[in-house]
Amino acid sequence: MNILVFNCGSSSLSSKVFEVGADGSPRVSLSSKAHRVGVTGTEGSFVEYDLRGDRQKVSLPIETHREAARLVLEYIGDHKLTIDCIGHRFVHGGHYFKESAVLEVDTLRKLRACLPLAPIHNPVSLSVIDECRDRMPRVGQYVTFDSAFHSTIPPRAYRYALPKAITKKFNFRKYGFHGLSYTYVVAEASRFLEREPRQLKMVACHLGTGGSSVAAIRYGRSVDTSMGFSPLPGLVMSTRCGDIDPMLTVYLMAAHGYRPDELIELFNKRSGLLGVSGFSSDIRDIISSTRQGEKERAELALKMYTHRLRKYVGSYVAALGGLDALVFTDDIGVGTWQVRQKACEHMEWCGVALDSKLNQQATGERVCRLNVEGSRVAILTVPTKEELVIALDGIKLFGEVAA
Amino acid sequence: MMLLFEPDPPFVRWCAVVDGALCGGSVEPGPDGFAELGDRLDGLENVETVGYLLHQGGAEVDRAVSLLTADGIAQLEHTVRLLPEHNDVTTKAAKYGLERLPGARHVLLCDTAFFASMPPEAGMYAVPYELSKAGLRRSGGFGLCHEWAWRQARLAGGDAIGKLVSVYLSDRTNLAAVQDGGAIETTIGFTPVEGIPSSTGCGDIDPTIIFQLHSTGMLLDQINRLLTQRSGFTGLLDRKCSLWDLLRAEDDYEKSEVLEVYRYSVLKHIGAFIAVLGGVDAVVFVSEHLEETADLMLQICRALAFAGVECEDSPDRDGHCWRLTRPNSCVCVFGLRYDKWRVMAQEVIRLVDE
Repeated sequence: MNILVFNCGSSSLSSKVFEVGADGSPRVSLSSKAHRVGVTGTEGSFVEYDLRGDRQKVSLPIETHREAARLVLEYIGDHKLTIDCIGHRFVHGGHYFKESAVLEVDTLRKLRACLPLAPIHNPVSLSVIDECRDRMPRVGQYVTFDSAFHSTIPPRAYRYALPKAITKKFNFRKYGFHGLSYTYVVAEASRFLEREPRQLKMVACHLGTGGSSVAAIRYGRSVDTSMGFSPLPGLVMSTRCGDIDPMLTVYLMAAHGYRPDELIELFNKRSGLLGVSGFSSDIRDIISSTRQGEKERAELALKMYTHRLRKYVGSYVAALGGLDALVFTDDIGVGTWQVRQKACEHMEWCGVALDSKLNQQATGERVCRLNVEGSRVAILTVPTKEELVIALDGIKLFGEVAA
Repeated sequence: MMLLFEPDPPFVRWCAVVDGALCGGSVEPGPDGFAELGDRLDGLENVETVGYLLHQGGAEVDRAVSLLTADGIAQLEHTVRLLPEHNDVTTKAAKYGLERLPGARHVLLCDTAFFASMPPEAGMYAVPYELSKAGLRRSGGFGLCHEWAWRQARLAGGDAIGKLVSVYLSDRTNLAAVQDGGAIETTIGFTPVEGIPSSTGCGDIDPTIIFQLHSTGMLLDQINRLLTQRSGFTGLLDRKCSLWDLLRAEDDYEKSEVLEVYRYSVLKHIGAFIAVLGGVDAVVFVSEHLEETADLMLQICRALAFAGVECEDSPDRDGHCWRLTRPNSCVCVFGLRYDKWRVMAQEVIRLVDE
């Protein structure tokens, strides 16, 4: 059985073909990524393919994600790969989806209803789905949702203290994101620790180059997370502000004359690390900055980033009533030891004790343990594999059909 | 006699302290109000000191307690833009107070000054730097209360207490993290709406929600009213509800669910502040009605067992300072009975004595 998986980034499109062997475990046969999709800049867009070690890079203008998907589908056709089903990552499933769904007329209708919930991410994913329907109409498709993992969050954590009628009308609640990543990380951390998920109180930090979030996971189920109705609140992110006073929005519109679209852009694209530092949205640039005039604000940006992260870890330890494992994942979580070091400083009160040497030695290749020996809380880096989670859902949904 | 004023737009609440006895009421913050006050108190000749509470002092007022003279009015007027309705009332009261009572000493009490020295990572938002520079920052609040709580915690728990989480339980519930007498975190943001849901305020919400509301044609005034006056416990229940109503929830399932939202929010912020402090020596709950908040305090206390809080099963409920933890508990937890007028009076006296 071959499963094609699409994962849309804001300016990239990752896709993988998983070959499911007789033992039921999926292995990657084709891996491709379209870079700088729809980006106008100095360097042009290109696609990389890796078909069982056979690598190829093609530079060409790619205006949209749909176009990038077409290129991948053509490549698959050219190389005579058969595809049994296609899986897609969808960021925001709203209240419609608590688990992955096979693409049917009803599913499509609901997906369209979800578009305004994540205006940057959802329409792009839907365009890729449309392209697949046009090009491979006979192949079954399914959708997995980043918000689904958090459907177990209890009312005390997902409710906003807004008037009942308003909440009902707009379905305002905390949804949460990065669910595919958390699904993988929970399973992988438990496997590594040789314990069942239902034995673990875990705080997982998904720190990406774009968006970041934290999740409180009790016995394998999400009980709270830092993002909300949209992916805007929570941590200080690369260009997103994270938590702010809600009245700030009202104030800036009323007193400073901002239009809502300007403010949405300001909070989502010009805030966070970029807004504070003034020169970069990348925490790695900010950590390594030594240039005069930049350094002071770079230090401030790093302090704000780690301060907010520590607050979330602390609040989720309290929410869980203790902690067994603290897990870092995604590019920054796994790749930037300085962030982990700052996050774990003076956290002995909840049993977190980081071995600074192990912390600096951690690699992005495998799960690494970073806590000092004998410490109560395990500290791990777990490189995440969102596409694998999508593929595993494909086996569940289409496995029997293909067999 | 000492006179104290606190804004309650469009009125000003007053309290007269005569030989330790308090009486009070509410008047208009102008000449008519002072005339009414004079009638109530059989003349204002005996007023020796007057205290005015300013909720939001911004960068202009960075001292918690300071002597106020006519020169200070311009500065006060400059703070009105920060919290228009409340600060306007305080400014007016101070102006007429200085005019009407030239022989008395006038003292300004500022509720944000305690937070003026908060580190930038706690005080700033991750918005473009220029906006922060223009004054968009977290102000903190209820500084008089939290500073008093710090001193009380040291009195009750000794000098070993260096890291404190102070929780003010009220219709404006908020927290402060205090290290060695200075505030390093607050739940109150640019406005008091940020943080924990209150009787009518929404607390922390996703800012995207505001854009959604606005896109359906709701006006800014309406959104403002929605978030500040129609949300919180009142919004969740769809009927007027204070914290005290909520605490009397016993058999009301809906109310107990809302109480759970509130309790959970307080618990999470305590956890966040312990992380900011890098551990904690004491947690204090400050409440005007200790008896009514007793169960709530104990429930939160029990939820903190993992952090070294060993709760008493049935703590002594006598006096103004209840110890909720066992003598050998790593972290002490106290419940403190709060009387804001008396704390204000103490502060005024402290300054005048100096």
